[in-house]
Amino acid sequence: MLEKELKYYNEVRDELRAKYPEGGFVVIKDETILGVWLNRTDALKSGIETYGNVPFLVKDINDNPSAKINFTRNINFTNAISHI
Amino acid sequence: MPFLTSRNSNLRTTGPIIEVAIVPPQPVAELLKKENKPIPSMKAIALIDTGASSTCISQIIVDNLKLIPFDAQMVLTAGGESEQLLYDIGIVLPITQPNVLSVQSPCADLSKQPFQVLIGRDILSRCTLFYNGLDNSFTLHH
Repeated sequence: MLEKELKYYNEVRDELRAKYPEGGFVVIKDETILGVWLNRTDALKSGIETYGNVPFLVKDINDNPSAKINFTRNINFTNAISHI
Repeated sequence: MPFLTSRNSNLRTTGPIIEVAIVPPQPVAELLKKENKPIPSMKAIALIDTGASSTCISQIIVDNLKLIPFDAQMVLTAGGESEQLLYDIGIVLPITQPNVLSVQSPCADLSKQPFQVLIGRDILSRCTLFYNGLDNSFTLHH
Protein backbone atom coordinates (compact mmCIF):
# COMPACT_ATOMS: atom_id res chain seq x y z
CA MET A 1 0.00 0.00 0.00
CA LEU A 2 1.30 3.49 -1.00
CA GLU A 3 4.40 1.98 -2.65
CA LYS A 4 3.61 3.59 -6.02
CA GLU A 5 2.90 6.98 -4.42
CA LEU A 6 6.11 6.90 -2.34
CA LYS A 7 8.21 6.00 -5.37
CA TYR A 8 6.67 8.85 -7.35
CA TYR A 9 7.10 11.27 -4.44
CA ASN A 10 10.80 10.47 -4.23
CA GLU A 11 11.10 11.24 -7.94
CA VAL A 12 9.38 14.65 -7.72
CA ARG A 13 10.40 15.78 -4.20
CA ASP A 14 13.18 18.14 -5.34
CA GLU A 15 10.93 19.62 -8.01
CA LEU A 16 8.18 20.22 -5.43
CA ARG A 17 10.62 21.88 -3.02
CA ALA A 18 11.79 24.22 -5.77
CA LYS A 19 8.24 25.04 -6.82
CA TYR A 20 6.94 25.56 -3.25
CA PRO A 21 9.81 27.16 -1.30
CA GLU A 22 7.43 28.02 1.54
CA GLY A 23 6.87 24.27 2.04
CA GLY A 24 3.60 22.42 2.31
CA PHE A 25 1.87 19.07 2.22
CA VAL A 26 1.49 17.34 -1.12
CA VAL A 27 -1.32 14.91 -1.92
CA ILE A 28 -0.42 12.13 -4.36
CA LYS A 29 -2.64 9.33 -5.65
CA ASP A 30 -0.96 6.79 -7.94
CA GLU A 31 1.26 9.12 -10.00
CA THR A 32 -0.99 12.16 -9.87
CA ILE A 33 -0.35 15.23 -7.74
CA LEU A 34 -3.62 16.68 -6.48
CA GLY A 35 -1.98 19.79 -5.02
CA VAL A 36 0.03 21.24 -2.16
CA TRP A 37 -1.51 22.72 1.01
CA LEU A 38 0.07 24.65 3.85
CA ASN A 39 -1.15 22.29 6.57
CA ARG A 40 -1.70 18.56 6.82
CA THR A 41 -5.37 18.72 7.79
CA ASP A 42 -6.29 20.78 4.71
CA ALA A 43 -4.29 18.40 2.49
CA LEU A 44 -6.01 15.38 4.02
CA LYS A 45 -9.42 17.02 3.68
CA SER A 46 -8.88 17.81 -0.01
CA GLY A 47 -7.65 14.29 -0.69
CA ILE A 48 -10.66 12.74 1.01
CA GLU A 49 -13.08 15.08 -0.80
CA THR A 50 -11.50 14.09 -4.12
CA TYR A 51 -10.74 10.39 -3.69
CA GLY A 52 -12.86 9.35 -0.70
CA ASN A 53 -11.61 7.48 2.34
CA VAL A 54 -9.07 5.39 0.44
CA PRO A 55 -5.27 5.26 0.68
CA PHE A 56 -3.38 8.19 -0.85
CA LEU A 57 -0.15 9.86 0.18
CA VAL A 58 0.12 13.10 2.17
CA LYS A 59 3.75 14.19 2.57
CA ASP A 60 5.41 17.20 4.13
CA ILE A 61 7.68 18.25 1.27
CA ASN A 62 10.19 19.71 3.74
CA ASP A 63 10.48 16.44 5.66
CA ASN A 64 14.00 15.14 6.09
CA PRO A 65 13.93 11.94 3.97
CA SER A 66 16.43 10.27 6.28
CA ALA A 67 14.48 11.08 9.48
CA LYS A 68 13.39 8.03 11.42
CA ILE A 69 10.81 7.36 14.09
CA ASN A 70 12.71 5.86 17.01
CA PHE A 71 11.58 3.36 19.62
CA THR A 72 14.02 2.24 22.29
CA ARG A 73 11.92 -0.86 22.95
CA ASN A 74 11.66 -3.69 20.45
CA ILE A 75 8.21 -3.65 18.84
CA ASN A 76 6.80 -5.89 16.16
CA PHE A 77 5.40 -3.42 13.64
CA THR A 78 2.76 -4.91 11.41
CA ASN A 79 2.38 -2.74 8.32
CA ALA A 80 5.70 -2.54 6.50
CA ILE A 81 6.06 -1.08 3.06
CA SER A 82 7.47 -3.55 0.55
CA HIS A 83 9.30 -1.78 -2.26
CA ILE A 84 9.75 -4.11 -5.20
CA MET B 1 -3.41 24.36 33.09
CA PRO B 2 -5.28 21.00 33.10
CA PHE B 3 -3.41 18.18 34.76
CA LEU B 4 -3.86 14.71 36.15
CA THR B 5 -1.99 12.95 38.91
CA SER B 6 -2.04 9.18 39.17
CA ARG B 7 -0.72 7.21 42.13
CA ASN B 8 -0.27 3.46 41.82
CA SER B 9 1.69 1.20 44.17
CA ASN B 10 2.65 -0.90 41.11
CA LEU B 11 3.90 2.10 39.12
CA ARG B 12 7.32 0.55 38.62
CA THR B 13 5.69 -2.54 37.04
CA THR B 14 2.87 -0.93 35.06
CA GLY B 15 4.61 2.30 34.09
CA PRO B 16 2.67 5.53 33.70
CA ILE B 17 -0.60 4.42 32.11
CA ILE B 18 -3.72 6.46 31.33
CA GLU B 19 -6.98 5.87 29.51
CA VAL B 20 -7.30 7.65 26.17
CA ALA B 21 -9.82 7.73 23.34
CA ILE B 22 -8.76 7.28 19.72
CA VAL B 23 -10.82 8.68 16.85
CA PRO B 24 -10.32 8.91 13.08
CA PRO B 25 -8.66 12.07 11.75
CA GLN B 26 -10.89 15.13 11.52
CA PRO B 27 -11.40 15.05 7.71
CA VAL B 28 -12.50 11.39 7.87
CA ALA B 29 -14.85 12.20 10.77
CA GLU B 30 -16.34 15.07 8.72
CA LEU B 31 -16.86 12.75 5.75
CA LEU B 32 -18.61 10.15 7.93
CA LYS B 33 -20.79 12.88 9.44
CA LYS B 34 -21.74 14.13 5.99
CA GLU B 35 -22.70 10.57 5.00
CA ASN B 36 -24.78 10.23 8.20
CA LYS B 37 -22.52 7.43 9.38
CA PRO B 38 -21.45 7.05 13.00
CA ILE B 39 -17.99 8.32 13.88
CA PRO B 40 -16.19 5.43 15.56
CA SER B 41 -14.08 5.91 18.66
CA MET B 42 -12.22 3.50 20.87
CA LYS B 43 -11.12 3.78 24.47
CA ALA B 44 -7.68 2.34 25.07
CA ILE B 45 -5.06 1.97 27.76
CA ALA B 46 -1.96 3.99 26.89
CA LEU B 47 1.55 3.76 28.30
CA ILE B 48 3.47 7.04 28.37
CA ASP B 49 6.79 6.06 26.79
CA THR B 50 9.58 8.63 26.81
CA GLY B 51 11.63 6.18 24.72
CA ALA B 52 9.25 6.53 21.77
CA SER B 53 9.68 9.49 19.44
CA SER B 54 6.20 8.87 18.04
CA THR B 55 2.90 7.60 19.34
CA CYS B 56 2.13 4.01 18.32
CA ILE B 57 -1.20 2.21 18.13
CA SER B 58 -2.11 -1.47 18.11
CA GLN B 59 -3.53 -3.29 15.12
CA ILE B 60 -6.85 -3.72 16.92
CA ILE B 61 -7.36 0.06 16.86
CA VAL B 62 -6.63 0.22 13.14
CA ASP B 63 -9.12 -2.59 12.55
CA ASN B 64 -11.87 -1.27 14.83
CA LEU B 65 -11.72 2.29 13.51
CA LYS B 66 -11.12 1.14 9.91
CA LEU B 67 -8.15 3.49 9.70
CA ILE B 68 -6.41 4.07 6.40
CA PRO B 69 -2.72 5.01 6.05
CA PHE B 70 -1.85 8.32 4.42
CA ASP B 71 1.92 8.31 4.91
CA ALA B 72 4.94 6.11 5.66
CA GLN B 73 8.28 6.58 7.38
CA MET B 74 11.33 4.62 8.44
CA VAL B 75 10.94 3.24 11.96
CA LEU B 76 13.94 2.25 14.04
CA THR B 77 13.68 -0.11 17.02
CA ALA B 78 16.12 -2.10 19.10
CA GLY B 79 15.44 -4.97 16.70
CA GLY B 80 16.13 -3.17 13.44
CA GLU B 81 14.47 -0.80 11.02
CA SER B 82 11.72 -0.90 8.43
CA GLU B 83 9.52 1.49 6.53
CA GLN B 84 6.07 1.50 8.09
CA LEU B 85 2.69 2.88 7.09
CA LEU B 86 1.50 5.76 9.26
CA TYR B 87 -2.08 6.35 10.32
CA ASP B 88 -3.49 9.81 11.02
CA ILE B 89 -5.44 9.62 14.27
CA GLY B 90 -7.03 11.89 16.79
CA ILE B 91 -6.25 11.17 20.43
CA VAL B 92 -8.12 12.53 23.42
CA LEU B 93 -6.23 12.52 26.73
CA PRO B 94 -8.05 12.90 30.06
CA ILE B 95 -6.39 16.33 30.38
CA THR B 96 -7.20 17.50 26.86
CA GLN B 97 -10.81 16.42 26.45
CA PRO B 98 -12.85 17.38 24.56
CA ASN B 99 -9.93 18.62 22.44
CA VAL B 100 -8.49 16.12 19.99
CA LEU B 101 -4.73 16.00 19.38
CA SER B 102 -3.78 15.03 15.83
CA VAL B 103 -0.81 12.72 15.37
CA GLN B 104 0.52 10.19 12.88
CA SER B 105 1.20 6.76 14.23
CA PRO B 106 2.67 3.48 13.06
CA CYS B 107 0.82 0.31 13.94
CA ALA B 108 2.30 -2.55 15.96
CA ASP B 109 1.35 -5.90 17.39
CA LEU B 110 0.75 -4.99 21.03
CA SER B 111 -1.59 -7.92 21.66
CA LYS B 112 0.64 -9.38 24.38
CA GLN B 113 0.97 -6.05 26.16
CA PRO B 114 -1.45 -4.67 28.79
CA PHE B 115 -1.87 -1.48 26.72
CA GLN B 116 -2.99 -0.65 23.19
CA VAL B 117 -1.24 2.69 22.72
CA LEU B 118 2.24 4.03 23.36
CA ILE B 119 2.18 7.78 23.93
CA GLY B 120 5.39 9.11 22.46
CA ARG B 121 7.30 12.34 22.51
CA ASP B 122 5.17 13.78 19.69
CA ILE B 123 2.41 14.16 22.30
CA LEU B 124 4.77 14.75 25.23
CA SER B 125 6.19 17.73 23.33
CA ARG B 126 2.86 19.42 24.12
CA CYS B 127 2.84 18.39 27.80
CA THR B 128 4.86 18.36 31.01
CA LEU B 129 5.42 14.98 32.66
CA PHE B 130 6.60 14.55 36.24
CA TYR B 131 7.49 10.98 37.23
CA ASN B 132 7.91 10.59 40.97
CA GLY B 133 9.23 7.10 41.60
CA LEU B 134 9.59 7.61 45.35
CA ASP B 135 5.91 8.51 45.59
CA ASN B 136 4.74 5.90 43.01
CA SER B 137 3.02 8.72 41.15
CA PHE B 138 3.19 10.73 37.97
CA THR B 139 1.60 13.99 36.88
CA LEU B 140 0.81 15.05 33.35
CA HIS B 141 0.15 18.72 32.55
CA HIS B 142 -1.15 20.00 29.22
